[in-house]
Amino acid sequence: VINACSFVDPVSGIREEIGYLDVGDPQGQVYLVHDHARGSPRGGVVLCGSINADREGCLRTLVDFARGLAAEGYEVLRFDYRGIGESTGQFSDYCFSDWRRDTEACVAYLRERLPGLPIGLWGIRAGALLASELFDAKLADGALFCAPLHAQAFMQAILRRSLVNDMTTRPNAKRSSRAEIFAALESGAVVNVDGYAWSKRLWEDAASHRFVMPASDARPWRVVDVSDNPRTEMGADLEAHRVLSTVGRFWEATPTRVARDSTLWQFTKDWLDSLCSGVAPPAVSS
Amino acid sequence: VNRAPLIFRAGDVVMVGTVHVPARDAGAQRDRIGLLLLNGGPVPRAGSGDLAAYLCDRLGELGVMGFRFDVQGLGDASGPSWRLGDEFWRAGQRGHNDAAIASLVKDLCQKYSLRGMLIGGLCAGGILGLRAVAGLRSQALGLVLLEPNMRASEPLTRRDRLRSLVLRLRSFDDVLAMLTGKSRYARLFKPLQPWLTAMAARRTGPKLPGGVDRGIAARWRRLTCADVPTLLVVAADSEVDRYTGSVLETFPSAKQDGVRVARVPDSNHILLPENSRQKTADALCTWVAEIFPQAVART
Repeated sequence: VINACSFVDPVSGIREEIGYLDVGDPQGQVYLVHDHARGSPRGGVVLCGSINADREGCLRTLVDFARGLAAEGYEVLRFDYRGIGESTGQFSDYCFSDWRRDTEACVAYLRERLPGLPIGLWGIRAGALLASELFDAKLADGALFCAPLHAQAFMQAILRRSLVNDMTTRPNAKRSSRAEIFAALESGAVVNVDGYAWSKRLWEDAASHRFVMPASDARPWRVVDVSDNPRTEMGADLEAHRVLSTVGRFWEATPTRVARDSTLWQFTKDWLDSLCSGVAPPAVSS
Repeated sequence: VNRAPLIFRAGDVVMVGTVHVPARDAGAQRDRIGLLLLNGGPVPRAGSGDLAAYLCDRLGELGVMGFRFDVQGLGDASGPSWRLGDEFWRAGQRGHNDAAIASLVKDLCQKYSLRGMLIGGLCAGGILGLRAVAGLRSQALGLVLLEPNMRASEPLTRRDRLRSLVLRLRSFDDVLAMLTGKSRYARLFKPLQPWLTAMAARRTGPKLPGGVDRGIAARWRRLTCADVPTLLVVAADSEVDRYTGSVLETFPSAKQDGVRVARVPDSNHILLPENSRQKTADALCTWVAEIFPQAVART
């Protein structure tokens, strides 16, 4: 980790280490925050946040969850994908395949520091999609996917929200429709969506990143559905692994964060406890 | 431009930030300056659409150091999270972060051998900076106000209302304005009103637009009168454009040149649509190069 520094959070008493992870890219490094477990670690978890405007809506929830889980005895890693937030590099140079490599690098980083202990992946939205790919590749021992969706569906949802915001804040501005924007992307134009430069490469790469439903997997995994997340999109029977949370689409409302007395926190803790104790998580009751 | 994380402790508060270190040094040590951007509302320090990070990168290309920090309860900083953005905003307006930010600026200036700092941010970030500058002396070289939210919060509690009243009575000019305005106390002074009104107009100039935080407007005016320059970036024809324009009219005309106004067309409050990001960065870089030519690396 490059340029590392650390501090003890006065509220939780958790030691946090912050720095940049070299992933072999001269243009971009991954910003990393490592929350150290209170006492002997029981296991580890990598929190995979989302992309574009979702990032800022999720961030403080991830910070609170990371500190809370560290206080429960887990080593927790959270990070920004290259080109986004605190990580370096130009957004327009990266795509989902690159962000998958960032996630892999973070899992490898944590595994190296926790030999023999289970590692879980906790992902939200685009982060859940990338976590599902790594879980499918057997790179983690458990996974929790919060409101997952396929990459192109994710981009469409982001663009829809961006256009609605734009219509509200600039009612008289001339703007393109969603279909026109995707047509422009396909023709090679770079499109500004909430300040991020979407490229043809990003859009085309997104087509090859679909949420991978774990099939008859003994490792503990859960899909957390928020009230209006279309579960049918996943195209498989989720009932044995699906839990319904009442937190709503919190990533869309920047100031809010999900409290540690929420259902999402409880599902996270139950899942991680089961991952690290080997005991099956509580039965699902949707 | 290289980035590195930074930690700053001020009492029980741990602020987490990022420094953008320019690849090339900007000349003489005594002329080094920095830019500090604070959270634009409850958004993490990179800013909406990573605007703040982009601005620091662009300024870094001129050889000027950029700093972005999360204040207590936001982003990566310590402290309990704010339950609502509005709570953070009200606390900020009451000076919740002032001391920590002022200490931070002093520390950064010392640590990086900076002559001083430009301070600001988007929306609430600009206001936090404006408030903190009052606690600094020579280290505050200028203000960077991007779509600053100068609206006063509605008083919620009796204490808020009392505080609002006290704030309105902080200066002689404000007392005059209150006595001659629509206040319930005004009628007590009815016989004196024509004389008071004329006197108040002579002292304060045009009346501030309704809803503007008078304390913040007065601070900004005082700083401008003390020759602290401001870069004000607004979305053209936006609400902020209109009321900051009205606030500016209340400044002494001889001092209004101290505020450089950049109006970004076809934009919105977060300065992201179309080419707003680039235009905001262009305005920042041009202003810094003009006001602090010795601090900018020669190409």
